[in-house]
Amino acid sequence: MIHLSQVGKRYGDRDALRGVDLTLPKGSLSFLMGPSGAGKSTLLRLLLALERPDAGRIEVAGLDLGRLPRRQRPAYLRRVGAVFQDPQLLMDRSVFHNVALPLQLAGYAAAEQGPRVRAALTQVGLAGAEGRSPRTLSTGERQRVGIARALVHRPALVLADEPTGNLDPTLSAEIMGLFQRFQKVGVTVVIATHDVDLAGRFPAQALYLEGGRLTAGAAPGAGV
Amino acid sequence: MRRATPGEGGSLRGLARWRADQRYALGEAKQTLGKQPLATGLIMITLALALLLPAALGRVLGLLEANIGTWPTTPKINVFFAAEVPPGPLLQRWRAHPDIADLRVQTAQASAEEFQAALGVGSALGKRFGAAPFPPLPSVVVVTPREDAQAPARVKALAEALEQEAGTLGVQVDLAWVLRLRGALEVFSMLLYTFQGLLATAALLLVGTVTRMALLERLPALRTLQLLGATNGFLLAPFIYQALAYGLGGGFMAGLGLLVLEGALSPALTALASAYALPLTPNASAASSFLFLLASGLALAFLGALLAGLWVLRRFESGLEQTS
Repeated sequence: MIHLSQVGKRYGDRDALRGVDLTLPKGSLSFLMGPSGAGKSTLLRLLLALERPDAGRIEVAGLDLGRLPRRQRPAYLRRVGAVFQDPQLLMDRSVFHNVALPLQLAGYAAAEQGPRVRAALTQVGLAGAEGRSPRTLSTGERQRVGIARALVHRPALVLADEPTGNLDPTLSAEIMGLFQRFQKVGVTVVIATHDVDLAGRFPAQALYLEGGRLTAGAAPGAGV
Repeated sequence: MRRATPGEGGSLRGLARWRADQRYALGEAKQTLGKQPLATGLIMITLALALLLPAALGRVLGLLEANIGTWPTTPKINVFFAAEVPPGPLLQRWRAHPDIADLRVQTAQASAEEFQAALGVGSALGKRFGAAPFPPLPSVVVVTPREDAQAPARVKALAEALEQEAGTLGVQVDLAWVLRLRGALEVFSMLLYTFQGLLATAALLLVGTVTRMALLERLPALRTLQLLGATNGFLLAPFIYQALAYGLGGGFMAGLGLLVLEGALSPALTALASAYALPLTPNASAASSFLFLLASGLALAFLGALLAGLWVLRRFESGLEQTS
């Protein structure tokens, strides 16, 4: 599903990533860990095709992201689910509208959007919240809306950057549990987090980045 | 049932998706416009003024230019000389002049007969005029300048040169007012084009700035949409529709304004033309002017919004890559 070969990325005279080799199979759950500035977000940006690597090759589902024309980036992004620390919801739209956005962008008929949005909200424990405004939701609920939005179009790959950064431990574990459930149905999930303890509670591949280098990667199920 | 996703399905599915996207964009634009009716109205009025001013001036100019074309515009120079001066040597010399196309001599006798005929040969005034002991009118040479020498300045220079000739009593430039009007119109039309260009630029900047502000206001939402895979076309469409609404409203108001102005100015223009005993016919229909203003409003609004939108998105795209 994901294959990185000698990937490097430079900002000015600083190496954000250096010689990263990585293979993540389809349906895997991986935690990308490391201190601030280690290159976690850079790696996720590369996987989202928001940037191109300066060296090496990134392949996602057979697609060479380093050579992906800018015009094709939206189509690629529509196939990926992205979750951010700040869920970036549209505050002037309802929860339904927010979650339905990927479906709308992917060209789903309006009649088909409703059941899918309701199913996604049920999965994240927000059944019946369709008509609510994101302003009325708690931080944890907003994050769950963000996750529902990332999963509503059933992407094969979900990339999450510090999805539990603003949440308390109980909510964080709940959110991680959600990702684990999606992994079990074949979705490839990569989560960047600095919460080593939380990541250690889930059977997943743990990837450590330090100074832009991938220093360790444990086998799935080994914990951290 | 799932509709086409990018790269899937036939053209009919693509069309259905395009229509769904346009419906969404129209809905968004309608919602935004509905939230700020006063601002929308003011933008439309400003656009209407920017369209109406040059359009009204252009209409008057076009009317005059079109009608001047139907008026006699070839200038003639009447050179009067004393009846006792033989015209032969004068004509010989003038024929060689590079600015003269044609010469026609009318002797004092012929002029007198023509005048007498105008008075009425049998009338008391005509009889009295015919009984005059010497031709009361001077001889005249009617000079027609060459076509490429009919500019007001050239005609004036030629008339002055002819006036200096020995035996010349005086010179009269026929249709001098038409020449002056034509000269004035040339200046006026140059000013008008400049004015039109400036106001069109102002309209573009107005719509562009409004679009830019609207885009910047929605930047966080646009960032989210872009991360979810929205294309630039999808992001810009609501703003383009919003601008088209401004253009449509502005063009419509300008069209109405032009009709009202025409109605008010028409009697004055007709009176002016009739003072010179000349016809004045409309050079364009009111409907075509109206449609032209509508199209201009739409085109300017579309262009302004598109340029501003692409500019903002290009800058925004580099920001997206740095901040997401």
